[in-house]
Amino acid sequence: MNGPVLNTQSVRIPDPKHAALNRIEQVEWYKLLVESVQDYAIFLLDTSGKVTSWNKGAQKFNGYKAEEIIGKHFSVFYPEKDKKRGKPEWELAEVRKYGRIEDEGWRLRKDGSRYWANVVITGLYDNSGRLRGYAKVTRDLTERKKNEDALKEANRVLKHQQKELQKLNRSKDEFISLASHQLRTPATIVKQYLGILKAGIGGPLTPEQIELLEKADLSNERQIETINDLLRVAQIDAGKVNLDKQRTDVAELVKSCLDEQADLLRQHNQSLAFNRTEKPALANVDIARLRMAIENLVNNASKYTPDGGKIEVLVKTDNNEVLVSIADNGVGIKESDLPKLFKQFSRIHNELSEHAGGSGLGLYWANKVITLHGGQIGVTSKVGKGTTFLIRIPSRNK
Amino acid sequence: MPKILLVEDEPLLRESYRIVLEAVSHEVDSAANGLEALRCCRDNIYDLILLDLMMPKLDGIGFLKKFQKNSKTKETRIIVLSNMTAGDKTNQALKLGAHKYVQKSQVSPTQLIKLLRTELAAA
Repeated sequence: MNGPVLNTQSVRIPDPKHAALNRIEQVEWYKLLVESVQDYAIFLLDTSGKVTSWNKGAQKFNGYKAEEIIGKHFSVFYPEKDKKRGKPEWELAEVRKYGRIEDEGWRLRKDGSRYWANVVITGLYDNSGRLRGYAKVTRDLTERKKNEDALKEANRVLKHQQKELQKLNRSKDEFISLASHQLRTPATIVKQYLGILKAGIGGPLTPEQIELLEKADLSNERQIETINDLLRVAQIDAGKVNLDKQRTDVAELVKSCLDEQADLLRQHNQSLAFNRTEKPALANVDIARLRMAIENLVNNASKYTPDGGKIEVLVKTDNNEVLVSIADNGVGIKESDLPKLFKQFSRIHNELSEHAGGSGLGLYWANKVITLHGGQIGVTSKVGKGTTFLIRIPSRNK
Repeated sequence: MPKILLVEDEPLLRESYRIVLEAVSHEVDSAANGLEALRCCRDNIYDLILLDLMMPKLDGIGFLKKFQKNSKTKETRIIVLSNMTAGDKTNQALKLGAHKYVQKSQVSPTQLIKLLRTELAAA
Protein backbone atom coordinates (compact mmCIF):
# COMPACT_ATOMS: atom_id res chain seq x y z
CA MET A 1 0.00 0.00 0.00
CA ASN A 2 1.42 3.41 -1.08
CA GLY A 3 1.06 6.72 0.70
CA PRO A 4 0.77 7.88 4.27
CA VAL A 5 0.13 5.16 6.84
CA LEU A 6 -0.08 4.93 10.58
CA ASN A 7 2.72 3.28 12.54
CA THR A 8 0.66 1.32 15.03
CA GLN A 9 3.78 0.46 17.00
CA SER A 10 4.16 4.07 18.17
CA VAL A 11 0.64 5.43 17.59
CA ARG A 12 -2.46 3.99 19.27
CA ILE A 13 -5.97 3.75 17.76
CA PRO A 14 -8.39 5.98 19.72
CA ASP A 15 -10.46 3.87 22.12
CA PRO A 16 -12.90 5.21 24.77
CA LYS A 17 -11.91 2.31 27.05
CA HIS A 18 -8.28 3.40 27.18
CA ALA A 19 -6.48 6.61 28.06
CA ALA A 20 -6.69 9.56 25.62
CA LEU A 21 -4.07 9.95 22.89
CA ASN A 22 -0.98 11.94 23.80
CA ARG A 23 0.12 15.03 21.87
CA ILE A 24 2.44 13.22 19.47
CA GLU A 25 -0.18 10.61 18.70
CA GLN A 26 -2.74 13.35 17.94
CA VAL A 27 -0.32 15.05 15.57
CA GLU A 28 0.32 11.73 13.80
CA TRP A 29 -3.42 11.31 13.33
CA TYR A 30 -3.79 14.87 11.88
CA LYS A 31 -0.89 14.24 9.51
CA LEU A 32 -2.56 11.05 8.35
CA LEU A 33 -5.85 12.88 7.87
CA VAL A 34 -4.43 15.64 5.68
CA GLU A 35 -1.95 13.56 3.74
CA SER A 36 -4.39 10.74 2.91
CA VAL A 37 -7.25 12.78 1.43
CA GLN A 38 -7.21 12.35 -2.35
CA ASP A 39 -10.25 14.42 -3.28
CA TYR A 40 -8.94 17.70 -1.99
CA ALA A 41 -5.51 19.26 -2.37
CA ILE A 42 -4.66 20.43 1.16
CA PHE A 43 -1.31 22.08 1.69
CA LEU A 44 0.50 24.92 3.44
CA LEU A 45 2.04 28.09 2.05
CA ASP A 46 4.46 30.28 3.93
CA THR A 47 3.85 34.03 4.22
CA SER A 48 5.58 34.66 0.91
CA GLY A 49 3.41 32.12 -0.85
CA LYS A 50 5.90 29.24 -1.13
CA VAL A 51 4.58 25.69 -0.77
CA THR A 52 5.68 24.09 2.50
CA SER A 53 3.59 20.89 2.62
CA TRP A 54 1.82 18.57 0.21
CA ASN A 55 -0.83 15.84 0.25
CA LYS A 56 -2.11 12.99 -1.90
CA GLY A 57 -4.88 15.14 -3.39
CA ALA A 58 -2.45 17.89 -4.32
CA GLN A 59 -0.23 15.39 -6.08
CA LYS A 60 -3.22 13.93 -7.88
CA PHE A 61 -4.51 17.32 -9.12
CA ASN A 62 -1.25 19.02 -9.89
CA GLY A 63 0.98 16.13 -10.86
CA TYR A 64 3.92 17.21 -8.66
CA LYS A 65 5.54 14.92 -6.14
CA ALA A 66 6.20 16.53 -2.74
CA GLU A 67 9.96 16.87 -3.28
CA GLU A 68 9.37 18.58 -6.67
CA ILE A 69 7.09 21.34 -5.37
CA ILE A 70 8.00 22.16 -1.81
CA GLY A 71 9.82 25.48 -1.72
CA LYS A 72 8.31 26.66 -5.04
CA HIS A 73 5.95 29.69 -5.17
CA PHE A 74 2.28 28.75 -5.52
CA SER A 75 1.90 31.02 -8.58
CA VAL A 76 3.31 28.11 -10.57
CA PHE A 77 -0.22 26.64 -10.47
CA TYR A 78 -1.73 29.66 -12.21
CA PRO A 79 -2.12 30.18 -16.00
CA GLU A 80 0.15 32.77 -17.64
CA LYS A 81 -2.75 35.21 -18.02
CA ASP A 82 -3.52 35.19 -14.31
CA LYS A 83 0.14 35.47 -13.35
CA LYS A 84 0.48 38.57 -15.56
CA ARG A 85 -2.55 40.13 -13.92
CA GLY A 86 -1.01 39.47 -10.50
CA LYS A 87 -3.83 37.19 -9.41
CA PRO A 88 -1.85 35.00 -6.98
CA GLU A 89 -0.54 38.01 -5.05
CA TRP A 90 -3.96 39.62 -5.09
CA GLU A 91 -5.50 36.50 -3.55
CA LEU A 92 -2.99 36.49 -0.67
CA ALA A 93 -3.69 40.20 -0.14
CA GLU A 94 -7.41 39.44 0.11
CA VAL A 95 -6.71 36.76 2.72
CA ARG A 96 -4.66 39.21 4.71
CA LYS A 97 -7.63 41.59 4.63
CA TYR A 98 -10.54 39.21 5.23
CA GLY A 99 -8.96 36.08 6.67
CA ARG A 100 -10.01 33.87 3.76
CA ILE A 101 -10.84 33.86 0.07
CA GLU A 102 -12.78 31.46 -2.14
CA ASP A 103 -12.23 31.42 -5.86
CA GLU A 104 -12.96 29.35 -8.94
CA GLY A 105 -10.73 29.29 -11.96
CA TRP A 106 -8.33 27.42 -14.17
CA ARG A 107 -5.19 25.96 -12.58
CA LEU A 108 -2.16 24.37 -14.27
CA ARG A 109 -0.81 20.90 -13.78
CA LYS A 110 2.85 19.93 -13.94
CA ASP A 111 2.36 18.78 -17.57
CA GLY A 112 0.86 22.15 -18.59
CA SER A 113 -2.70 20.87 -18.87
CA ARG A 114 -5.35 22.75 -16.97
CA TYR A 115 -8.20 21.89 -14.63
CA TRP A 116 -11.11 23.92 -13.21
CA ALA A 117 -10.50 24.41 -9.50
CA ASN A 118 -12.47 25.62 -6.53
CA VAL A 119 -9.88 27.12 -4.18
CA VAL A 120 -10.12 28.25 -0.56
CA ILE A 121 -7.13 30.03 1.00
CA THR A 122 -7.25 30.58 4.74
CA GLY A 123 -4.89 32.70 6.84
CA LEU A 124 -3.05 30.93 9.68
CA TYR A 125 -2.24 32.98 12.82
CA ASP A 126 -0.10 32.59 15.86
CA ASN A 127 -1.21 33.34 19.43
CA SER A 128 -0.22 37.00 19.05
CA GLY A 129 -2.48 37.36 16.00
CA ARG A 130 0.38 37.48 13.51
CA LEU A 131 -0.13 35.85 10.09
CA ARG A 132 2.25 32.93 9.81
CA GLY A 133 1.16 31.20 6.63
CA TYR A 134 -1.75 30.07 4.52
CA ALA A 135 -3.81 26.89 4.25
CA LYS A 136 -4.82 26.09 0.67
CA VAL A 137 -7.70 23.67 -0.01
CA THR A 138 -8.50 22.96 -3.63
CA ARG A 139 -11.20 20.89 -5.34
CA ASP A 140 -11.03 19.72 -8.92
CA LEU A 141 -14.32 20.76 -10.49
CA THR A 142 -13.38 20.09 -14.10
CA GLU A 143 -16.09 17.43 -14.42
CA ARG A 144 -18.70 19.74 -12.96
CA LYS A 145 -17.63 22.61 -15.21
CA LYS A 146 -17.73 20.33 -18.23
CA ASN A 147 -21.26 19.34 -17.28
CA GLU A 148 -22.30 22.95 -16.69
CA ASP A 149 -20.88 24.06 -20.03
CA ALA A 150 -22.57 21.15 -21.77
CA LEU A 151 -25.84 22.10 -20.08
CA LYS A 152 -25.51 25.73 -21.20
CA GLU A 153 -24.87 24.62 -24.76
CA ALA A 154 -27.77 22.17 -24.68
CA ASN A 155 -29.99 24.97 -23.38
CA ARG A 156 -28.90 27.26 -26.19
CA VAL A 157 -29.61 24.58 -28.76
CA LEU A 158 -33.01 23.88 -27.19
CA LYS A 159 -33.97 27.56 -27.28
CA HIS A 160 -32.97 27.74 -30.92
CA GLN A 161 -34.95 24.61 -31.73
CA GLN A 162 -37.93 26.05 -29.87
CA LYS A 163 -37.82 29.18 -32.04
CA GLU A 164 -37.58 27.06 -35.18
CA LEU A 165 -40.53 24.93 -34.08
CA GLN A 166 -42.62 28.01 -33.41
CA LYS A 167 -41.81 29.31 -36.87
CA LEU A 168 -42.74 25.94 -38.34
CA ASN A 169 -45.96 25.90 -36.36
CA ARG A 170 -46.96 29.29 -37.73
CA SER A 171 -46.22 28.29 -41.30
CA LYS A 172 -48.18 25.09 -40.67
CA ASP A 173 -51.22 27.16 -39.73
CA GLU A 174 -50.81 29.36 -42.79
CA PHE A 175 -50.48 26.32 -45.01
CA ILE A 176 -53.58 24.71 -43.54
CA SER A 177 -55.50 27.95 -44.09
CA LEU A 178 -54.39 28.20 -47.70
CA ALA A 179 -54.99 24.55 -48.50
CA SER A 180 -58.40 24.58 -46.83
CA HIS A 181 -59.52 27.64 -48.79
CA GLN A 182 -58.42 25.94 -51.98
CA LEU A 183 -60.28 22.77 -51.07
CA ARG A 184 -63.50 24.66 -50.43
CA THR A 185 -64.02 25.47 -54.12
CA PRO A 186 -64.17 21.97 -55.60
CA ALA A 187 -66.18 20.74 -52.61
CA THR A 188 -68.67 23.54 -53.21
CA ILE A 189 -68.90 22.68 -56.90
CA VAL A 190 -69.60 19.02 -56.11
CA LYS A 191 -72.28 20.16 -53.65
CA GLN A 192 -74.01 22.18 -56.36
CA TYR A 193 -74.02 19.45 -59.00
CA LEU A 194 -75.15 16.76 -56.59
CA GLY A 195 -77.93 19.10 -55.51
CA ILE A 196 -78.89 19.74 -59.12
CA LEU A 197 -79.14 16.00 -59.79
CA LYS A 198 -81.04 15.32 -56.55
CA ALA A 199 -83.53 18.05 -57.33
CA GLY A 200 -84.29 16.34 -60.64
CA ILE A 201 -83.03 19.30 -62.68
CA GLY A 202 -80.84 16.95 -64.74
CA GLY A 203 -83.80 14.69 -65.40
CA PRO A 204 -86.08 12.35 -63.40
CA LEU A 205 -84.33 9.88 -61.09
CA THR A 206 -85.16 6.45 -59.79
CA PRO A 207 -85.27 6.05 -55.98
CA GLU A 208 -82.10 3.97 -56.19
CA GLN A 209 -80.30 6.76 -58.03
CA ILE A 210 -81.43 9.29 -55.46
CA GLU A 211 -80.13 7.07 -52.69
CA LEU A 212 -76.74 6.80 -54.38
CA LEU A 213 -76.57 10.56 -54.77
CA GLU A 214 -77.50 10.96 -51.09
CA LYS A 215 -74.50 8.91 -50.07
CA ALA A 216 -72.17 11.03 -52.18
CA ASP A 217 -73.79 14.19 -50.87
CA LEU A 218 -73.41 13.14 -47.24
CA SER A 219 -69.77 12.41 -47.68
CA ASN A 220 -69.19 15.69 -49.44
CA GLU A 221 -70.94 17.51 -46.60
CA ARG A 222 -68.60 15.84 -44.19
CA GLN A 223 -65.68 16.99 -46.30
CA ILE A 224 -66.98 20.56 -46.24
CA GLU A 225 -67.43 20.35 -42.48
CA THR A 226 -63.87 19.14 -42.05
CA ILE A 227 -62.56 21.95 -44.23
CA ASN A 228 -64.47 24.50 -42.19
CA ASP A 229 -63.19 22.98 -38.97
CA LEU A 230 -59.61 23.00 -40.29
CA LEU A 231 -59.86 26.66 -41.17
CA ARG A 232 -61.31 27.54 -37.77
CA VAL A 233 -58.65 25.56 -35.96
CA ALA A 234 -55.79 26.96 -38.06
CA GLN A 235 -57.06 30.44 -37.32
CA ILE A 236 -57.34 29.93 -33.59
CA ASP A 237 -54.00 28.10 -33.37
CA ALA A 238 -52.30 30.93 -35.21
CA GLY A 239 -53.64 33.27 -32.54
CA LYS A 240 -55.61 35.17 -35.13
CA VAL A 241 -58.93 35.01 -33.36
CA ASN A 242 -60.11 38.26 -31.82
CA LEU A 243 -63.17 37.62 -29.73
CA ASP A 244 -66.01 40.00 -30.47
CA LYS A 245 -67.26 40.16 -26.89
CA GLN A 246 -70.65 41.53 -25.97
CA ARG A 247 -72.50 41.45 -22.68
CA THR A 248 -75.03 38.68 -23.17
CA ASP A 249 -77.48 36.59 -21.21
CA VAL A 250 -75.82 33.23 -21.84
CA ALA A 251 -79.01 31.39 -20.92
CA GLU A 252 -80.84 33.15 -23.78
CA LEU A 253 -77.99 32.28 -26.15
CA VAL A 254 -78.09 28.62 -25.13
CA LYS A 255 -81.87 28.52 -25.46
CA SER A 256 -81.73 29.85 -29.03
CA CYS A 257 -79.03 27.28 -29.89
CA LEU A 258 -81.24 24.51 -28.59
CA ASP A 259 -84.23 25.79 -30.55
CA GLU A 260 -82.20 25.46 -33.73
CA GLN A 261 -81.14 21.94 -32.85
CA ALA A 262 -84.61 20.78 -31.88
CA ASP A 263 -85.13 19.15 -35.30
CA LEU A 264 -81.97 17.10 -35.04
CA LEU A 265 -82.99 15.75 -31.64
CA ARG A 266 -86.50 15.04 -32.81
CA GLN A 267 -85.11 12.97 -35.70
CA HIS A 268 -83.48 10.72 -33.13
CA ASN A 269 -86.41 10.77 -30.78
CA GLN A 270 -84.26 12.33 -28.11
CA SER A 271 -85.81 14.49 -25.42
CA LEU A 272 -84.34 17.83 -24.50
CA ALA A 273 -84.77 19.48 -21.12
CA PHE A 274 -83.60 23.03 -20.56
CA ASN A 275 -83.39 24.77 -17.23
CA ARG A 276 -82.02 28.15 -16.41
CA THR A 277 -81.42 30.42 -13.52
CA GLU A 278 -84.15 33.03 -13.14
CA LYS A 279 -81.97 36.08 -13.30
CA PRO A 280 -79.91 36.82 -16.42
CA ALA A 281 -76.71 34.78 -16.69
CA LEU A 282 -74.65 37.70 -17.93
CA ALA A 283 -71.14 37.37 -19.29
CA ASN A 284 -68.97 39.04 -21.91
CA VAL A 285 -68.94 36.57 -24.78
CA ASP A 286 -68.34 36.30 -28.50
CA ILE A 287 -71.88 35.32 -29.44
CA ALA A 288 -71.19 33.61 -32.77
CA ARG A 289 -68.30 31.56 -31.42
CA LEU A 290 -69.94 30.58 -28.16
CA ARG A 291 -72.98 29.43 -30.14
CA MET A 292 -70.74 27.23 -32.27
CA ALA A 293 -69.12 25.71 -29.20
CA ILE A 294 -72.50 24.98 -27.57
CA GLU A 295 -73.85 23.56 -30.84
CA ASN A 296 -70.86 21.28 -31.03
CA LEU A 297 -71.39 19.94 -27.52
CA VAL A 298 -75.12 19.40 -28.03
CA ASN A 299 -74.42 17.70 -31.37
CA ASN A 300 -71.98 15.38 -29.65
CA ALA A 301 -74.48 14.64 -26.92
CA SER A 302 -77.01 13.65 -29.58
CA LYS A 303 -74.51 11.64 -31.61
CA TYR A 304 -73.34 9.59 -28.67
CA THR A 305 -76.75 8.93 -27.21
CA PRO A 306 -78.95 6.19 -28.67
CA ASP A 307 -82.35 7.03 -30.11
CA GLY A 308 -84.88 7.72 -27.41
CA GLY A 309 -82.26 9.09 -25.06
CA LYS A 310 -82.30 12.23 -22.93
CA ILE A 311 -80.27 15.41 -23.03
CA GLU A 312 -80.39 17.95 -20.21
CA VAL A 313 -78.99 21.43 -20.48
CA LEU A 314 -78.66 23.66 -17.48
CA VAL A 315 -77.49 27.27 -17.21
CA LYS A 316 -76.80 28.81 -13.85
CA THR A 317 -74.57 31.33 -12.15
CA ASP A 318 -72.18 30.75 -9.30
CA ASN A 319 -70.44 33.71 -7.71
CA ASN A 320 -68.65 35.26 -10.66
CA GLU A 321 -69.06 32.47 -13.18
CA VAL A 322 -71.71 31.35 -15.63
CA LEU A 323 -72.04 27.57 -15.75
CA VAL A 324 -73.50 25.67 -18.69
CA SER A 325 -73.86 21.94 -18.29
CA ILE A 326 -74.81 19.60 -21.11
CA ALA A 327 -75.64 16.12 -19.89
CA ASP A 328 -76.69 13.04 -21.84
CA ASN A 329 -77.56 9.49 -20.85
CA GLY A 330 -75.68 8.01 -23.77
CA VAL A 331 -72.79 5.59 -24.20
CA GLY A 332 -70.39 7.50 -21.99
CA ILE A 333 -66.61 7.84 -22.29
CA LYS A 334 -63.98 5.47 -20.94
CA GLU A 335 -61.75 6.99 -18.28
CA SER A 336 -58.70 6.17 -20.40
CA ASP A 337 -60.18 8.14 -23.32
CA LEU A 338 -60.86 11.32 -21.32
CA PRO A 339 -57.39 12.87 -21.74
CA LYS A 340 -57.62 12.50 -25.54
CA LEU A 341 -60.97 14.23 -25.74
CA PHE A 342 -59.84 17.78 -26.41
CA LYS A 343 -56.97 16.90 -28.71
CA GLN A 344 -56.96 17.55 -32.45
CA PHE A 345 -58.54 14.80 -34.55
CA SER A 346 -59.29 12.78 -31.45
CA ARG A 347 -61.33 9.76 -32.33
CA ILE A 348 -62.92 7.68 -29.65
CA HIS A 349 -64.34 4.33 -30.51
CA ASN A 350 -67.60 3.09 -29.07
CA GLU A 351 -70.77 1.50 -30.42
CA LEU A 352 -72.07 4.80 -31.83
CA SER A 353 -68.85 6.33 -33.19
CA GLU A 354 -68.95 4.53 -36.53
CA HIS A 355 -71.83 6.65 -37.78
CA ALA A 356 -70.95 9.74 -35.84
CA GLY A 357 -69.04 11.49 -38.60
CA GLY A 358 -67.44 14.77 -37.73
CA SER A 359 -63.86 15.88 -38.15
CA GLY A 360 -62.52 15.28 -34.65
CA LEU A 361 -61.72 18.98 -34.38
CA GLY A 362 -64.92 20.30 -32.82
CA LEU A 363 -64.04 19.72 -29.18
CA TYR A 364 -60.49 20.96 -29.69
CA TRP A 365 -61.82 24.21 -31.13
CA ALA A 366 -64.60 24.59 -28.55
CA ASN A 367 -62.07 24.12 -25.77
CA LYS A 368 -59.78 26.76 -27.25
CA VAL A 369 -62.63 29.24 -27.64
CA ILE A 370 -63.79 28.80 -24.05
CA THR A 371 -60.20 29.12 -22.86
CA LEU A 372 -59.86 32.37 -24.81
CA HIS A 373 -62.89 33.61 -22.87
CA GLY A 374 -61.00 32.92 -19.68
CA GLY A 375 -63.15 29.89 -18.95
CA GLN A 376 -62.78 26.12 -19.03
CA ILE A 377 -64.59 22.97 -20.14
CA GLY A 378 -64.73 19.98 -17.83
CA VAL A 379 -66.13 16.53 -18.49
CA THR A 380 -67.36 13.70 -16.31
CA SER A 381 -68.57 10.43 -17.69
CA LYS A 382 -69.49 6.86 -16.94
CA VAL A 383 -69.51 4.18 -19.60
CA GLY A 384 -73.03 3.05 -20.26
CA LYS A 385 -74.54 5.82 -18.13
CA GLY A 386 -73.75 9.05 -19.95
CA THR A 387 -71.57 12.13 -20.15
CA THR A 388 -71.76 15.63 -18.75
CA PHE A 389 -69.81 18.57 -20.14
CA LEU A 390 -69.52 21.62 -17.93
CA ILE A 391 -68.56 25.01 -19.35
CA ARG A 392 -67.50 27.71 -16.94
CA ILE A 393 -67.19 31.31 -18.14
CA PRO A 394 -66.23 34.26 -15.96
CA SER A 395 -69.07 36.77 -15.63
CA ARG A 396 -66.68 39.66 -15.74
CA ASN A 397 -63.60 40.25 -17.86
CA LYS A 398 -60.56 39.14 -15.91
CA MET B 1 -89.61 36.52 -64.61
CA PRO B 2 -87.11 37.87 -62.07
CA LYS B 3 -83.90 39.13 -63.60
CA ILE B 4 -80.75 38.00 -61.86
CA LEU B 5 -77.10 38.96 -62.30
CA LEU B 6 -74.71 36.18 -61.37
CA VAL B 7 -71.15 37.34 -60.66
CA GLU B 8 -68.78 34.41 -60.13
CA ASP B 9 -65.29 33.79 -61.53
CA GLU B 10 -65.10 29.97 -61.13
CA PRO B 11 -66.61 28.64 -64.40
CA LEU B 12 -67.98 25.31 -63.13
CA LEU B 13 -69.57 27.00 -60.15
CA ARG B 14 -71.01 29.80 -62.26
CA GLU B 15 -72.50 27.21 -64.60
CA SER B 16 -74.06 25.25 -61.72
CA TYR B 17 -75.75 28.37 -60.31
CA ARG B 18 -77.02 29.29 -63.76
CA ILE B 19 -78.54 25.83 -64.20
CA VAL B 20 -80.32 26.11 -60.85
CA LEU B 21 -81.63 29.63 -61.40
CA GLU B 22 -82.89 28.95 -64.89
CA ALA B 23 -84.56 25.72 -63.74
CA VAL B 24 -86.83 27.83 -61.50
CA SER B 25 -87.62 30.44 -64.11
CA HIS B 26 -85.21 33.19 -63.52
CA GLU B 27 -83.61 35.20 -66.29
CA VAL B 28 -79.90 34.97 -65.65
CA ASP B 29 -77.04 37.15 -66.86
CA SER B 30 -73.52 35.95 -65.95
CA ALA B 31 -70.38 37.90 -65.28
CA ALA B 32 -66.94 36.44 -64.48
CA ASN B 33 -65.66 39.45 -62.56
CA GLY B 34 -66.56 42.91 -61.25
CA LEU B 35 -65.76 44.70 -64.51
CA GLU B 36 -68.07 42.51 -66.57
CA ALA B 37 -70.69 42.92 -63.86
CA LEU B 38 -70.53 46.71 -64.06
CA ARG B 39 -70.94 46.48 -67.85
CA CYS B 40 -74.07 44.37 -67.38
CA CYS B 41 -75.41 46.87 -64.85
CA ARG B 42 -74.97 49.76 -67.32
CA ASP B 43 -77.49 48.23 -69.68
CA ASN B 44 -79.81 46.39 -67.31
CA ILE B 45 -81.70 46.73 -64.08
CA TYR B 46 -81.63 43.54 -62.02
CA ASP B 47 -83.96 42.33 -59.30
CA LEU B 48 -81.14 40.56 -57.55
CA ILE B 49 -77.35 40.30 -57.81
CA LEU B 50 -75.45 37.24 -56.56
CA LEU B 51 -71.95 38.56 -55.93
CA ASP B 52 -68.76 36.62 -55.38
CA LEU B 53 -65.99 38.49 -53.55
CA MET B 54 -62.68 37.03 -54.72
CA MET B 55 -62.44 37.65 -58.46
CA PRO B 56 -59.71 38.84 -60.81
CA LYS B 57 -59.71 42.26 -62.53
CA LEU B 58 -62.28 43.78 -60.17
CA ASP B 59 -63.33 41.97 -57.03
CA GLY B 60 -66.65 42.07 -55.19
CA ILE B 61 -65.69 44.99 -52.94
CA GLY B 62 -64.48 46.94 -55.99
CA PHE B 63 -67.77 46.28 -57.74
CA LEU B 64 -69.83 47.46 -54.75
CA LYS B 65 -67.83 50.68 -54.57
CA LYS B 66 -68.53 51.44 -58.23
CA PHE B 67 -72.09 50.14 -58.42
CA GLN B 68 -74.38 53.05 -59.14
CA LYS B 69 -77.03 53.46 -56.47
CA ASN B 70 -79.82 55.46 -58.05
CA SER B 71 -83.61 55.51 -58.11
CA LYS B 72 -83.71 52.63 -60.58
CA THR B 73 -81.30 50.35 -58.74
CA LYS B 74 -82.48 50.98 -55.21
CA GLU B 75 -84.79 47.96 -55.41
CA THR B 76 -81.95 45.63 -56.44
CA ARG B 77 -81.13 43.09 -53.74
CA ILE B 78 -77.45 42.25 -53.48
CA ILE B 79 -76.42 38.96 -51.91
CA VAL B 80 -72.75 38.25 -51.34
CA LEU B 81 -72.19 34.59 -52.18
CA SER B 82 -68.61 33.93 -51.14
CA ASN B 83 -66.48 31.12 -49.80
CA MET B 84 -64.62 33.49 -47.55
CA THR B 85 -65.14 32.99 -43.84
CA ALA B 86 -67.16 35.78 -42.25
CA GLY B 87 -64.85 38.60 -41.28
CA ASP B 88 -63.51 41.98 -42.32
CA LYS B 89 -64.17 41.61 -46.08
CA THR B 90 -67.72 40.35 -45.67
CA ASN B 91 -68.50 43.04 -43.12
CA GLN B 92 -67.13 45.64 -45.50
CA ALA B 93 -69.38 44.32 -48.26
CA LEU B 94 -72.41 44.68 -46.02
CA LYS B 95 -71.42 48.24 -45.23
CA LEU B 96 -71.02 49.01 -48.94
CA GLY B 97 -74.60 48.08 -49.74
CA ALA B 98 -74.84 44.29 -49.84
CA HIS B 99 -77.97 43.11 -48.05
CA LYS B 100 -76.82 39.69 -47.00
CA TYR B 101 -73.75 37.45 -46.84
CA VAL B 102 -74.01 33.73 -47.44
CA GLN B 103 -71.21 31.22 -47.49
CA LYS B 104 -71.20 29.18 -50.70
CA SER B 105 -70.20 25.87 -49.13
CA GLN B 106 -73.18 26.08 -46.77
CA VAL B 107 -75.81 26.53 -49.48
CA SER B 108 -77.24 23.71 -51.59
CA PRO B 109 -79.25 24.44 -54.78
CA THR B 110 -82.50 23.85 -52.91
CA GLN B 111 -81.44 26.27 -50.18
CA LEU B 112 -80.33 28.82 -52.79
CA ILE B 113 -83.77 28.73 -54.40
CA LYS B 114 -85.42 29.24 -51.01
CA LEU B 115 -83.06 32.10 -50.23
CA LEU B 116 -83.83 33.84 -53.50
CA ARG B 117 -87.54 33.48 -52.97
CA THR B 118 -87.24 35.22 -49.60
CA GLU B 119 -85.00 37.99 -50.91
CA LEU B 120 -87.08 38.71 -54.00
CA ALA B 121 -90.19 38.94 -51.84
CA ALA B 122 -88.41 41.43 -49.62
CA ALA B 123 -87.57 43.70 -52.57
